[in-house]
Amino acid sequence: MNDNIEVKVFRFDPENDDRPRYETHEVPADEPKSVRTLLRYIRENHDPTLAFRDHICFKGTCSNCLINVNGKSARACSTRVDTGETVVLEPLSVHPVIKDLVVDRGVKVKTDEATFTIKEGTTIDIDREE
Amino acid sequence: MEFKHRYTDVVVVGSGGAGVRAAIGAADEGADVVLTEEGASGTAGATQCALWSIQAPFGQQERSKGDSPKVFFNDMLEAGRGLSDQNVLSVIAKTMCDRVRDLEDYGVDFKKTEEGHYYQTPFPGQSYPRSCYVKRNGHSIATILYNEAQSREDIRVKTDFYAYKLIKDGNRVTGVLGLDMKKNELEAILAKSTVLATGGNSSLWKHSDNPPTVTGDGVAMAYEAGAEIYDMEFNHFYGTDLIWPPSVKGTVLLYELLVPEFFDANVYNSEGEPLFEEPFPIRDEAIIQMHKEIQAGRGTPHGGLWYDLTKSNKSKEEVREIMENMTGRHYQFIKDAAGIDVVEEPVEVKPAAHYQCGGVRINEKGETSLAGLYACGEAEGNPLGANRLAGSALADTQAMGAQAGKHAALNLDEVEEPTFDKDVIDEEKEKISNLTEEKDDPIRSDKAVEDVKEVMMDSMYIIRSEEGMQKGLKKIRSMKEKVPRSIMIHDTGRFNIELAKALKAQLMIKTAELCIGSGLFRKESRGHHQRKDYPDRDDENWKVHTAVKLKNGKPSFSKKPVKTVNFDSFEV
Repeated sequence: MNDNIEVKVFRFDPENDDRPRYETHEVPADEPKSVRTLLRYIRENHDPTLAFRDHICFKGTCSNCLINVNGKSARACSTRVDTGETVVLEPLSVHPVIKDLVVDRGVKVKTDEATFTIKEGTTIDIDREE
Repeated sequence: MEFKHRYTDVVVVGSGGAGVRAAIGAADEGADVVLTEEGASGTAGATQCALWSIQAPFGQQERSKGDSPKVFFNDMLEAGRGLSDQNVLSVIAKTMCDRVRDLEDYGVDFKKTEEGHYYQTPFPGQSYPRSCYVKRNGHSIATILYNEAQSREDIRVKTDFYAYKLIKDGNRVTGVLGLDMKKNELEAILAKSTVLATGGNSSLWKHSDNPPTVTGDGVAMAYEAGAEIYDMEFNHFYGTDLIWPPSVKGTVLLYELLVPEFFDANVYNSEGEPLFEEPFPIRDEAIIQMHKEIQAGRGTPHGGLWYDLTKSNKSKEEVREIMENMTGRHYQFIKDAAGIDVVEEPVEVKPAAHYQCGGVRINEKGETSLAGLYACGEAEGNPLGANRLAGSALADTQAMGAQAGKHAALNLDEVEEPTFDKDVIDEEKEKISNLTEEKDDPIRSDKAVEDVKEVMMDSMYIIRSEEGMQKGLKKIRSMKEKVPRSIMIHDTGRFNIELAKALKAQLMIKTAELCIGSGLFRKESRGHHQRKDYPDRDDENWKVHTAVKLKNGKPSFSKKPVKTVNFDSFEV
């Protein structure tokens, strides 16, 4: 029986691609692996151009590594995939895609109720008269 | 590659606890501030990982009566093993109560006693209980601080911006150059004052509990620009960090909770023997013991020791309850990421790099040795000395963050408009474009980063030696020559992580050289620098800072005196 984990990854470069594509990567697995471990494996062994946000807090709180796993938003650092399974990794669906699994989350503010994006897009323009 | 430049009064590099506090401090003085962060909005740094809370000498609750800034100062001084700069330490001791009140104003919910005093708990090395309690500690503090900064009109945040080089005009630092990851552009943020709040360097080691981006970049940037750096050989390791399985490698398990009052368990070797006798040794002694046990061949299959809660004298239910109350988040994370319940099975732990004791030399105003450049938080050097108390790093981010931010914004009318050298920008553009060219013997940027981490594990782990450090230095010097010429990356347009890593690898090599060189320079053992060949503390010759500065293209090391002050009369 094939114990490999099959990872289907969303790839998209807005500057050069018309449409996104999905790539399938086989990752060898003796035991279950976290999604973050799978992504790192793919970048280190198959394709160094795969773009994703790595972990920061490493305890499931900072949300830097949030992506869509099998259609639902999940933290890559704390989501486990069993051997022999297939997993689909896509960017978060509510934000514009910058590249592959990296989205533009703008500048966030957290309140007690929810997190809001208060400034979308890229640079904050702060030009002064030169 | 496109290049843009923009102007502001104060630019703060790094949006962890210190950086955000500095931005707020500068905005309070009326400055326009740009706050940059390496990653997505509000996710930066080690502050949010802080497990314990912030210390402040309120002396209000019954069991803390008698506490004062002076007692706090003396406790930190004692822990610092003789290398604390007392001018900066005085600022921390004298202003911490005000800084905690600031956090409360911003919305941090500190637990209070029935009488309305700050609820404070005891901690190793503190003469009086002075650790404040916040639910979710570092994470709460970091989030609320960031929100406060967001609410200020004068603070603009630039996310996904990898600042990697300081800009100078003559001898003055006039801003920072970085890679805008979203647009794949070079951008210079010109400013009258630049504040480095880039955190520590613990991810220079392969086994670390810090976020992977925390590699001491600010130290390398300041060094390249000519600033004086202190004490890079003092690297604080933390004993009980998970080493297996890979999905949780680097996660912290609390050593302090092993005591009878909490888990009543221990760390065990491969023969099932407990390591520690009561009273449990304090951190730096504990990690040396663990290290020696592993070196003696009594370690676990993956080179660690067993953190085994199943051997506790308490019931599983009791242990589980303590685990959930004290470190609920970690406990759940380890279950989610690895499917392991640490209450039900032993796990392998090994000391991991945890905190940078030294950094960019500052005075009590947060000023570095370069005009226009400030530093605060873990990036600064060196008020806490050769070893620190738990909880003092978080305190430092607020005390010196506020101080550096304030002084960075004062008297800016007297400072000329910042300028930059166009030639330097053209050089950078060319260096970056060279990275995508074909090379005969190419190195991948991911690999260059991993190689530095291996060298640091081999040469600058817990117990150092002349031979080990010389070997490491040789490898780093060879990487210094080879890597800039040999890194090859793909030109993938936006969010090019290979490019960011290529720039980072070159900074990592520089910071590593400073660490190893400092380790070789200091011929004694003290706090978090331990040498096999010089195992004793030597106050007569070495109660000084190890200072390093760029001279003729190379690091030049020297001894610098530790600053002492009269605490009572010292004015902040």
